Amino acid sequence: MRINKSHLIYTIVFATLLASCNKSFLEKAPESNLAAGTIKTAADAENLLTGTYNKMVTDGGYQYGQFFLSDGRSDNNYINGDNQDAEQPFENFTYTPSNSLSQGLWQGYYAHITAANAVTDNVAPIDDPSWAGTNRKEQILGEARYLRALAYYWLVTQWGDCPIILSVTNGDNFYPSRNSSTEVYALIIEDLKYAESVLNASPYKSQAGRATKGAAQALLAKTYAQMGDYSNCLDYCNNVIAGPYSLVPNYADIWGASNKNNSESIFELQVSSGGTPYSFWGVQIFSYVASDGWPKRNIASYDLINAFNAAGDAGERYTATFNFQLTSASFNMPVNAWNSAAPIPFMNKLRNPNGFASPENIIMIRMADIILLAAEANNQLGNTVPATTLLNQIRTRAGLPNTTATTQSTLALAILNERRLELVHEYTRWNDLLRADANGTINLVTLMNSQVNSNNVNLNYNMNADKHQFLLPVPLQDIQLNKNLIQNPGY
Amino acid sequence: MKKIDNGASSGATTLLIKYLLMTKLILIFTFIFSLQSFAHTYGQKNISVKLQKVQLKKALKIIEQQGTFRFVYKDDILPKDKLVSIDVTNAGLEEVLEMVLQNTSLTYQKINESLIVITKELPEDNSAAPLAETVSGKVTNEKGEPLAGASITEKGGNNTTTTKSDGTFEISVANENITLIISYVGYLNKEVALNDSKNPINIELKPSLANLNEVVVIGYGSQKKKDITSAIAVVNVKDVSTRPIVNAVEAITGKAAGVQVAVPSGSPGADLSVKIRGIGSPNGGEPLYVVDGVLANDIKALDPNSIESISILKDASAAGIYGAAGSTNGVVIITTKRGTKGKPKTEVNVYTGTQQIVKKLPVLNNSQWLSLQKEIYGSDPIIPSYYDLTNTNNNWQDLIYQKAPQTGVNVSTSGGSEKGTYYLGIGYLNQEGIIVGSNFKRYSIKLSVEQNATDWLKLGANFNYNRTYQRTVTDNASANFGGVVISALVTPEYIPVKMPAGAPVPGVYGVSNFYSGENPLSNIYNNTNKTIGNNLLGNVFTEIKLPFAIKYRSQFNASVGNSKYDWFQDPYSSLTGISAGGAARSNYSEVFRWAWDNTLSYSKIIGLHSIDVVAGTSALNEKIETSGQYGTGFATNAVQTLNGASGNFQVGTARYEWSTNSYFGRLNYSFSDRYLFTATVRRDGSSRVGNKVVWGNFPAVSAGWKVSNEKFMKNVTWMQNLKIRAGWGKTGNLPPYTMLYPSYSLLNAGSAYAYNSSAASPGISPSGQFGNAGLKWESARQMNVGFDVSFLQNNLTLSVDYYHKKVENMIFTQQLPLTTGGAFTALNLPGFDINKGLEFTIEANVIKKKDFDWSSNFNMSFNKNLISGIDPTISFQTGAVSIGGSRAPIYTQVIKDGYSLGTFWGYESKGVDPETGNLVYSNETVGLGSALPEYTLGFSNTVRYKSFTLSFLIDAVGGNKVYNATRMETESVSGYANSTAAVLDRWMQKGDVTDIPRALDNGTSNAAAAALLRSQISSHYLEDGSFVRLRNITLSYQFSNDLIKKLGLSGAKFYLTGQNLAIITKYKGYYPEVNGYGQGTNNQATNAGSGASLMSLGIDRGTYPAAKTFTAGINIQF
Repeated sequence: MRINKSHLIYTIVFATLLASCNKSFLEKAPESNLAAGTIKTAADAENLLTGTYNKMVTDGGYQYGQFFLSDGRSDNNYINGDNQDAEQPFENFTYTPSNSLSQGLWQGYYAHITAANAVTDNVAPIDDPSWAGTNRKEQILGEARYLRALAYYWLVTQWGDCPIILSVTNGDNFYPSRNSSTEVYALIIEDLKYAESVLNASPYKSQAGRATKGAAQALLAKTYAQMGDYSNCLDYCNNVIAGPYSLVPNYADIWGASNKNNSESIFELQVSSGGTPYSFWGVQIFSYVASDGWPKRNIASYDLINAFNAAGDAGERYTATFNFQLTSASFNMPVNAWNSAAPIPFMNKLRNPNGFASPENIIMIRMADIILLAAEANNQLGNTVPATTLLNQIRTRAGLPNTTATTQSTLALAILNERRLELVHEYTRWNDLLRADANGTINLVTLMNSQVNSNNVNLNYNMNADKHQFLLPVPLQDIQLNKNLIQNPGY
Repeated sequence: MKKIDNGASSGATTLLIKYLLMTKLILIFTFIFSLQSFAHTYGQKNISVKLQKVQLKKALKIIEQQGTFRFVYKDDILPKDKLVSIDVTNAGLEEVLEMVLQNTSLTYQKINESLIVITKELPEDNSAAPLAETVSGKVTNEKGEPLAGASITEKGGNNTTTTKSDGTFEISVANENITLIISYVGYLNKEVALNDSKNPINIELKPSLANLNEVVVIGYGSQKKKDITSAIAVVNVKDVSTRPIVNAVEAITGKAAGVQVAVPSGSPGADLSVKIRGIGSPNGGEPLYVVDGVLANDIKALDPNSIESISILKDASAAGIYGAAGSTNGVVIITTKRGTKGKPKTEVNVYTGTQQIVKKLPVLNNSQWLSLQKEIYGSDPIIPSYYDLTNTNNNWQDLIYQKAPQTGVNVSTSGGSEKGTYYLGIGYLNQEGIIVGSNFKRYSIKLSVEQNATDWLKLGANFNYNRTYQRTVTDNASANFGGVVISALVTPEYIPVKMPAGAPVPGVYGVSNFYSGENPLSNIYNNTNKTIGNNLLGNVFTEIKLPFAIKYRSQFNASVGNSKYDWFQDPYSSLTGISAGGAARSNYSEVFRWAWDNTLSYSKIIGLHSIDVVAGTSALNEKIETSGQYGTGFATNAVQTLNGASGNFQVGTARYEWSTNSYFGRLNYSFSDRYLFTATVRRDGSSRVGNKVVWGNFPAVSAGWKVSNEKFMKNVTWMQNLKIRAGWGKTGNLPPYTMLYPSYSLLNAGSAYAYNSSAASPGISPSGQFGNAGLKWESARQMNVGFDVSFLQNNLTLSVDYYHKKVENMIFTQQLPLTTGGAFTALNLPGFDINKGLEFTIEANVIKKKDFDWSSNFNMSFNKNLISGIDPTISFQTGAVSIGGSRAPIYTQVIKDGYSLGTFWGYESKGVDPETGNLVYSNETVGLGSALPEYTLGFSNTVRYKSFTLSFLIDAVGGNKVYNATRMETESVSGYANSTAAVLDRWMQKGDVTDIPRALDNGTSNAAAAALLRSQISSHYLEDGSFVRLRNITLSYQFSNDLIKKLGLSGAKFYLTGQNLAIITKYKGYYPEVNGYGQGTNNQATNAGSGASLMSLGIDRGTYPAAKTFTAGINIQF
């Protein structure tokens, strides 16, 4: 062989060195995600807060699951969906720990909490010069804590005791046990009071959709009400009423593309009309679409339509709430609940399904809710006169005469009924019923078990007298992953 | 006559060769080993002979007897009428020959002192030629078929050659006393002594199932099979050209013990799943593929016809050279075809055939459906008048399943010289799916070149490229989400194909107001799913011979896989299309991988010591890019690209990258051909483990003892080649589909919010991934002991292996409790994934006659998997299915301490209570059995009678369970969907004893039992997945040599093949070998950014059924 040996050996050594590249060859950092620990500036903080609002869209259940949790579960609606294993148990009170809808909601609320915790974790250490002389840093924390409180509000009212998580990694304790609901309520109030103290009445940069002082007060009122603390509830209701909100003159004008973020709206989930950066698919499966094979969910119940009829409510509120259509939509409706050959009352408040890309905003809290809550609190505290005034304020807009109820107990029923007619499909009915059961206005077990269909045949909801179905079971997956979680009784 | 000088320049001989070549005679030289031509006496110049009118042949014989020389000639050149009369005393040989050959056209040449060749006289030629003799002959197999590429070597010498495509060869040798060794892969070596042979030499090789000199491709080198001390299976891929194999992996099915190949879906172009010795990681069990040295996750780029050989490295000692590149799950080494020296060889293989569904499931007709509805709801359903229950009886299975054609064409040409070789292959495949609307087309090119630039430098390249076109239909989904297979079962027969006049939207595909899914034809034709793929796998390399017998090889590898997926929903043809206004999605992904390997190797035999060493480095980098676009609002279905969309635009792109760097080495040592030893070590570093623990070391050793080569075995004749093997090693594993940046906690940058219900503000939110900088390599400790032995003169061989594979530091993409918001992290789970098992392989030449032979391969393996040592209070859910209109997962399987991977977990169904008609369940959820088989078996046979060859392959698995989630929808006896005929046996009144519970609906009966039936995992839907299957049967006819010659060919074969013709199983669904969530769904590009889920096995979720096929083909070589 006539090879220049040294030349060859140099080549090989060179090649081998190249192939055993330097250390950085093995250091790859993510390119399409941010690595944690890179949140340093005021802009980062704002973006992280915006991401927390975004979680309401992706994880909050506000476009789907929560409809079953509130109206679907209550006497307001038949669920009617084809997702019978997940949805139908909310109609029939047969939910089990493995119910996927309940699990999805639980996870979604905690995802929302985690996003809010990312703000409180990361923003607190930032000291950005652009914040000098402002309280924007505190406001960012306040908005995040408002959103955290909102998620805990739903967790504690639907599941009772639940783990309190206040940082993303929870101090590396991924296996928390449940805190008492008293502790959870205390946390909600602490967060909301902080938000109330730092936020302004109008949203930051006039960006509708952000938490405001009024939103914090309204949620405080709703939280205290759920705790049974009507005195504090009333105080915060009055604060809201004294604020910048007013009822929209025409009930039908509360919703729709041209009525977003109106004067009545206190906290509203924002969806742009262009389909970016997201749209709401949920509307498509709730609202009637002529040319759509989907079984529509949350068909109004016989009992609800009866309630409107009994109240003589056939005006704008009635027509804005329901969309009667002839469709043979009998899918998974309780037996003969509606004659499927007759017009069926579909949901109408969110009117534009737009093929799974609805541009509708979702109003989370509005003035009428707080006015009626103030009426309820006044009445429970024995102030029947202001209670009646507040109640009639809502009835007047609906085109109904003043209430005939005079006693505290009849007024309690009248307010409950008014809330029902006013707030159909607005996530309130189930919690209203829980309060009414707690303060003795009604017996929720009896109420549900006495539901009949349009042929006056009992629907057999079989709610248990031990009331265990008032609370949802802790999701099985979490029970399996986290041995520190104890299941609710009855499951 | 003219005397030719026998000096250094024997020009006539050379010219003779040229002349004969020119006249295309195959037998070149008159160098004939006639038995008569022997003589050995007397010296040189002392010939004394007296002949009177003796025939020339006899005269030569007599003269031969006078000396130590020998005459060599071809009989037919001696003129029979020539009579010789001479009378000499003490004459020289030359003098005598001059006299004897006088007046003939013959001449002679003295090759050396003892050999004289007599040939016809030719014109003189002065060109130089070496002093050598050229031997010619032909090598055939036992059937008389020529063997191309067989090697012919001079024993103890340097001369070597290979046979041409017609089996002929010529070789120059020093003299006639040497012996030739003829060898060919898969055949017994044969030694032929030249002085003992006829002319021309016709050599017939006998096939050997236990050809111990066979060379097996192992990692970064090759080794003689007889010297292997680890567990390596060599797969016979000769049948590939006579089977309609679409995916190269299919060639392994049933061929090797401990290797399970499953077809988890019958969808054209779908991936196959391979499991070697159980499942080495909860993250997946797919092996590493090494194609011509290129490390690949899949072999999509390969046309099966371009495969030359497959060897499967099963244990640590064999696979350890690949370290953490995936060797815990074994390595499949594929070598593709390349050219051979000799005449160009062209091969054409064409087949065409038809595929069809194995069986259909009976469903309820309209009146049976109606009576079920009445039973569920207590009254007749109110059905809109535009449905016609009397006259519309659409059997949807008949409408969507078709007899589907499949055609394949492969053409290859190859050849080469001493300087280099080439191979060019092109392929075309067109496979229609058995479900209308699904199809797969592939155009492939394979090119291989090798060139010896100098005697020390070799250069070469291999490229495999293909472009695929695939149109898929949705499966593994309920009808509500477009699943065609389930839709064909649950769409009632009265639903029209298109809505009739009088319906709200006439003319669209039929839907039911009761049943929310559209009919299956709508799902097929209203939604267009098209994927175009480009796959490239290739390398360039150089080999340099260095001083001291060291060989250096540098190889640069590249693989590129890109795929473009387009989906279009017609805006007019269906209700969902109308409500969305039409929609389109366009996704693109590219995975580009390069790797650079540099190795030094050294082989030396010193006395009784034989040493073989290889050492090297490897660097690998992979980049993954994805993008996706979406839009809705199409004015027309004539423009299906996204420029035709009017709104809801969504876009996204992403980029990922990872790399590894490795050092490795191997020593093979043997002493006295009795004691064998192998040691390997690999050190791997990767960006895909925690950045605090980048490096892992993986050593392995094995040893073998060839007992039969010991002296004390000399008298043992009833068995041969007994070798005992044992090995131990540590291998690494990087789960292919887990997160790529496990060290980092990640935030998503795309979480925008539309404040003011208007333009988006950018946002950041937690992605859900929590980092773990201490994430260690998943690794396995593997032990293997076994032995190989043959009996009956190697006609029966037996191999037995026992293995124990214990995986530790299992990498889990662990779902953290939901209170983290559903976060996940990668961690090393304390505990083990243990696979242990036993493998048997028996190969036999059952019959070996001239016209009739039968060879057989039987392999069987038992495997037991166990998860051990993890916290018994936790379990990981996997195997999610979603039912009906739900998107939410219901988990069928768990990974749990004390249970096998793939264990189904749920309520035990105790049958239907004859009193109530409800199913009775256990109170607690329990393990219900595993999807992993307890044993797998393969039995292949080749029987030849004269020109006919029948081969068949039977495979079987046993002891595995399949979760038939499809039945959760077709037998739930609730709702408005149609059911299978199984529900006709439902409980209807007290005392009915049956397996099918009562019809159920809201409030009418036991709602809790109904909910459980519909939404919980129970053994009610779990079935025995065992099967015995006739996987393949092929009858081929080899055209006779005469006919082939007449046609100017060198080989032609006609064949008929059937696949999946028969299956014995208790499974109630279409096909038991099913996994709707097979490894094939784990596309690395699409999952790169997510914390991919754990494995799911044995789930039938409306999965595209596998087909049975009939094919006819022809294979021509020229």
